Amino acid sequence: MEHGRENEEARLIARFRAGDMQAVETLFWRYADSVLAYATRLLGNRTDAEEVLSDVFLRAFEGCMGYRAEGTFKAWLFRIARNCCIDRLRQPRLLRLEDGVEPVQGDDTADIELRVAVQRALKRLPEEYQTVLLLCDVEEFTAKEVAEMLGRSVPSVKGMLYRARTALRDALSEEWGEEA
Amino acid sequence: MKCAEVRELLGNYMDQELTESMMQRIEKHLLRCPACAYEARSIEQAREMLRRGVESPMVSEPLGERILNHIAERFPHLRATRSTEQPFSLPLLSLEDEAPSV
Repeated sequence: MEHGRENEEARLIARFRAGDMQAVETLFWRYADSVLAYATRLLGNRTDAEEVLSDVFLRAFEGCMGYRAEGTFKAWLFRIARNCCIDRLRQPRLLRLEDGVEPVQGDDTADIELRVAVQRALKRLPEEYQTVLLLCDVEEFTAKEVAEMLGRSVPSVKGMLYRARTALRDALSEEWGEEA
Repeated sequence: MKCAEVRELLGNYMDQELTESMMQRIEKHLLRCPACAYEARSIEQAREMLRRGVESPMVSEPLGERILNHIAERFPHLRATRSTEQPFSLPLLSLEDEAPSV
């Protein structure tokens, strides 16, 4: 990401530290939708994702009060979001509804079928594959940013991304009932 | 190039992260090798399906307000300067309207 955005966000974080609530609102509304979408895709349901969303921003701002790692605020948030989602997935559940497939809304039948197939195919992949696909191919983070988030090398992320794309292709083929 | 070499570089090729000469070598191979060409096309197609097919829920204003209130409670140093409107809220746009660049 360009340095202009990083510098602007560094100023917003400084304003937050100085007690400016408006800076918090700006950062929150800038990324709230994309963090909720990411959490929904990883957790497989929106209710859990909405609960996680609050934790993500609280942890992010707590982190901003002290040391904050290098990189963009967005990359920082998504790293926290992934950790929160993993924590949530590890929690024992008294009742788990049909695992992972959220009711899909929409008017266009083809779009709905596509979204259901993608949701089901994603849920069949290992968590790490889902993560790199969502971060690189949907959120368009660079391999370097994702490597920093996951604590891996760039070649390792690129290799995993290729395997994840292949696995997604195969899973979609099976979900779709024909070649993807 | 051999198929194994091409498969190893296919991810970088799709992300256009190779030198121009290497991109051209792989393109040349793909034109002559149906199996590798299928591999590249099918993965690209799956990637496109993923982009179009993922859900993109939006945070409702009440949920956002609740979370912001929670943050304000957690950090007492924040001044009570909250506006009641979202700074980035936009009027509802028709599909024909061009989305503003961010």
